[in-house]
Amino acid sequence: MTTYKIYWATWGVLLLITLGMIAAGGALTGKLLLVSLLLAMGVKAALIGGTFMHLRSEQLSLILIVTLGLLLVGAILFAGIAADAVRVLRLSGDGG
Amino acid sequence: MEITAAAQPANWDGGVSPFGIGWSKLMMWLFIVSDGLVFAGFLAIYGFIRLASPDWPDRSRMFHLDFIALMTFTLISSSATMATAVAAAREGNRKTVLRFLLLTVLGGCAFLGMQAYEWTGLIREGAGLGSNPWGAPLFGACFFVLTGFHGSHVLSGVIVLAMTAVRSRMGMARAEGVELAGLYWHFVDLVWVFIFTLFYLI
Amino acid sequence: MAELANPVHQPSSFLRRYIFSQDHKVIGIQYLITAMFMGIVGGLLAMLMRIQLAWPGQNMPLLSKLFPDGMAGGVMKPEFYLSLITMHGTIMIFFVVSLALVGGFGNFLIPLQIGARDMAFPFLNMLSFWTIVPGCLIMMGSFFVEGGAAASGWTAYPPLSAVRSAVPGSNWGQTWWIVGMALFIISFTMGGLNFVTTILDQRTKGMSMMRMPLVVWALFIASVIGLLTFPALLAAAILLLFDRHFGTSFYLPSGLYFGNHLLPNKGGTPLLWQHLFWFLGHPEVYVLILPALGITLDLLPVFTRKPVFGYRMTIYCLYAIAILSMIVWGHHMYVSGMSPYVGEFFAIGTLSITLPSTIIGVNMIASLWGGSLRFPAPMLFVIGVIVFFGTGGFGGLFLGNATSDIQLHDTYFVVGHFHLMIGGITLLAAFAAVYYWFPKMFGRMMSDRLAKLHFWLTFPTFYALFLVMHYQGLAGMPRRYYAFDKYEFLSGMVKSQVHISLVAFVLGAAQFIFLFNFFWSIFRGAKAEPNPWNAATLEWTTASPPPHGNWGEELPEVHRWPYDYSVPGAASDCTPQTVPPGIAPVAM
Repeated sequence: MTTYKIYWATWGVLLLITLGMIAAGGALTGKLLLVSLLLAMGVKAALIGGTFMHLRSEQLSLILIVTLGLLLVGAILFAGIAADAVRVLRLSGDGG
Repeated sequence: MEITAAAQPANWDGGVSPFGIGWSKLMMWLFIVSDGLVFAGFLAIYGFIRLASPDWPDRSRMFHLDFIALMTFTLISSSATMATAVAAAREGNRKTVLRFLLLTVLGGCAFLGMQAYEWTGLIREGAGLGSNPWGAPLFGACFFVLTGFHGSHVLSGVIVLAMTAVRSRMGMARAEGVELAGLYWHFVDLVWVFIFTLFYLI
Repeated sequence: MAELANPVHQPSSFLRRYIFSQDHKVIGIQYLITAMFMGIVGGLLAMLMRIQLAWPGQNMPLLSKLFPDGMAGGVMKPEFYLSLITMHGTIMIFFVVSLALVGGFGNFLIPLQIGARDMAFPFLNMLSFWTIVPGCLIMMGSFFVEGGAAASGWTAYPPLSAVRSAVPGSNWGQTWWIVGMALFIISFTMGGLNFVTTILDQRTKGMSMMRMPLVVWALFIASVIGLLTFPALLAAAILLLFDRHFGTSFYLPSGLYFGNHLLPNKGGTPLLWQHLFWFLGHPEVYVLILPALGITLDLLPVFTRKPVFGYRMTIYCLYAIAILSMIVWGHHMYVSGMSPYVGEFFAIGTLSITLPSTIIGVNMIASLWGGSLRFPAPMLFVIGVIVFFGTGGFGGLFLGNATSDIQLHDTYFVVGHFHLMIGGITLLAAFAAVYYWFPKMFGRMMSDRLAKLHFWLTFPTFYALFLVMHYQGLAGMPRRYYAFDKYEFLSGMVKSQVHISLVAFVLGAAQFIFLFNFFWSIFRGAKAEPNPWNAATLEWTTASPPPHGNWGEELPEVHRWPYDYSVPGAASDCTPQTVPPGIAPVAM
């Protein structure tokens, strides 16, 4: 039963984080809110991936392939297009 | 490690299995990466639009965060029941597998129902793909495409899980099959974590 | 998968054996023949374009029967010309070169060269082929829907692709184009998952990653690139479909007029599509070219009788190209009004990609050095690849640099450059591979004399065509125009258009020599010896054509890398991978 227990403990932590994220929306503002929400999202993703999907007990090479494949490629895509989004905003005239 | 050994067919004697897992599971992981990148694409597009829009409507005006929290609760709980089902399948406990698979399917259906309810409410208020009453012209399009694409994944996950449950009832499901279905289900949950944070909260 | 352990289990019915086959060899050949058919279609489209460019306004009554809309009265309409360039590009890139090199040779070679009985997922493999077939049919069928085929270029830039009333081809033709591309992406994803899993987990005993032939390495890395970048295009294409049919405006800004009426869309930007398209589009170029380079590097040692030069360095360079290819897509968009700082980043990335490319090129040339060269037809094509890779690559220096690209971007310089690179290199490599592995596929040889004739009619004409286009571009001739006789500054170009078209007809006609040779040799070619080229790679140790399950009762065991040619102390100048170290010394 120990394996079951760890899943339900993870479940509890995930719920707490989620509630905390919603509460943070009322308590924090600006950059602090943004950073804490992103951090909380990262922790939640790591918990689901690590415990529920057993990524924690896989070999390092698989962990790297999955996390880097998803995060790095996603980050590259976003980083490459984000600068132009700001430029579109400026050129549209509404953003000053 | 017993599972990984069982996952490998008897005739496998190649050089090294670089990841120590069977090829079905390896392909499932690769598929998850590939499918996850479709969502990464959608989220990057959404990020681009957010950055390029002069203003973005305040989400608390149209979403009831308590309700979204309930949806998240349902999906996370279904993920926990799924993990339990996978662990039970590994121990060969068929009854527990079936019970928890059905609970997971129930959770998925509940999530879909709540999403349908949420959509109906917003559409009644005038939100659509082309326009929405709250400002930024692409807000409605982003919302429906992102949540809709995630919802379609939940739906296909529910179908896969229902099939696995039927197979398990008939005694045809192997532990690995349950595990692969589980990986997919957790992935759907994982995507929701991102959508929940990036779309509803930030 | 368990029945695969038993090699004798071959399906007996014709349908299961040759049509809905799960055997990787049959599927590979199916892909190859589909690619040839689509190649004829794409080639004929190019010929129509060349007729129009050389003799604008020419009356061709015969064609008006086939395309009653586009060629009404026998004279080509400008919209139809746009459909031609769009479909020529799409078909050639996605449905010819991708199918032949990745689908065809990927499927045929990977299990044979790593010593597997089949792909990891034979059923998925079959599904992947039977997803691409409707994709091909939809692409070709789009010519016959109302308004004709898509006309927004193979890049499908909005607003032409997003506004249904923009040009006739923007209507149903574009929708069919998106559906066809979606089928291609799904098929390619299934194939790519299969390739990567097979290469990682299905290698035979002793076949470590560092003992794999370079073509398998190249296919592996190409599949990985495809898996990582195609999803972005899938997401973008879904949104394009929404823009077209469900009233969103992801790619449409406010204030667009079409036919004097204002479109209701607002909030989007075409720049978003361009980014997402090229995020796939540029890596796709490497998905095509890496297998071509792999084939070249794999064939070189066979015809020089010495090991390939810089095996490890080549693999590292393939990795470097794969990584760099994902951060340089912006060099296709220098003229889009992108942020100049981003442009600078992309220019630096692009120019640094020349580094691994050059190392691979030098490795190819060094592989020739000091060998005892033989020149059967495959080797001629391999030499052709090296020549194109070297000279065509120079054009890339001008296009990768934002400063010169802004001048050259919308000219024929670009057309010439990418036809030499992803047209010439991939086609020559595919021909080399067909001539080389044909005996493995069918147990017969192709006619070497016809193959050489094919080469000498293909290689020089390719050069004559596309090198001249570089100069046309330098002279300022814009691309995608349907007729050039109305512009005074281009009046000096009219003659060269006729020359280019005549050469293009020779090039097109020469391909029928290849097709005849291929199909004639299947039935009438000379019987092939078990190892006709004296090659060391694993596929030549089994029968030709290999039986279902590839190997007999026992899987082969590998003891050395695939390029043990002329090892000092060995009995012959070629030591197959299966020879144990006790019999011949291991070079690596």
